Amino acid sequence: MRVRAHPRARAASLRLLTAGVGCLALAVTTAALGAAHGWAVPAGLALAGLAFGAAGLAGVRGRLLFSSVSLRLEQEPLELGGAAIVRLECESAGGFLAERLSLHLRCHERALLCDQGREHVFVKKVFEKTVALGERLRVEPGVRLSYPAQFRLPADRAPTFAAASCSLEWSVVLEVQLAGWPAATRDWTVVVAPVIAA
Amino acid sequence: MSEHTDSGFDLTLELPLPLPAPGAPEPVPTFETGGAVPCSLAIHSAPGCHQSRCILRLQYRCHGSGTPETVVAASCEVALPSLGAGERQVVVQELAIPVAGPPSYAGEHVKIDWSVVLQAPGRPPCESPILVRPARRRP
Repeated sequence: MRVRAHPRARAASLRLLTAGVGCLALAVTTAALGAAHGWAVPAGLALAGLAFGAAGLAGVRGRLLFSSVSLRLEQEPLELGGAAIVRLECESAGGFLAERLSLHLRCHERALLCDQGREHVFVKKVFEKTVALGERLRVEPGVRLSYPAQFRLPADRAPTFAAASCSLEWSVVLEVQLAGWPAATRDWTVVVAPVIAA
Repeated sequence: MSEHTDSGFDLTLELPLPLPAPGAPEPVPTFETGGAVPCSLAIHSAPGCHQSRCILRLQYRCHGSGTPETVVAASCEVALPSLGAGERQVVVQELAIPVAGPPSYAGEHVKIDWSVVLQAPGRPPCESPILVRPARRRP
């Protein structure tokens, strides 16, 4: 499992590509309807969107931070009110300066509504606890790092649950913050049993 | 407590209630995941009554922002005893709550409500809400 940071330009390039595809579809529709030169403007916009989007994506492949990263839990499933003892192990790919390296234990509610053939997804974070692993951390290339961390699970929250249209999902998330880049993240789903620890 | 009544017989479902705390709202029958729900069915018969069976169902309903769904966790058919006119008898039947739960939950998008449903032939089902909490591990 790798961790790669992506600059903000990647999202903009994807939007340009999507807009280009939309304009192309509009040009084809206009041409099919027989409008004399009505297709020319959308076709031009489509060409521009596709070209700039593709060029943008090619130039912003992102930055590989860790060539391998894994998370080990001392005990699974976890128990409400108990401790989650984890160990993060990773190997850096290139050298970088991390503003912050942190692990987060999160719980999300997720509901799926099927309404007249359309699907709506509702997501809400209902719990988060953060453990900072390091700040202003200089990571040299090819270095193996190992971080122990411990979270205390709340006793008054819901355990992992999944039905056809709703679920409660717990996860541990690694977050790497680089200056001027959006946070790079990697998450692991963990199971929390419907048991309150002794 | 749920009650079924007609001219033939009375059928009452009773679930154990926790001790009421001072100033607290009306208590709801509360159980733990992996535990059992003891359902007491009180039958009071009238002349000419030949009711023989009813169904008890333990279920939870997932709702909230998503498409609602109901999952039956346990059910059983209860054979009712033959009683003479005016006789009364109590039948106790346990329904097992799965170890995996889920516990009752009330979030913003996800809600899980448990209930025991009593269904007798020819009558509308009667539903009693219960609370299911995560089991407490014994040290």
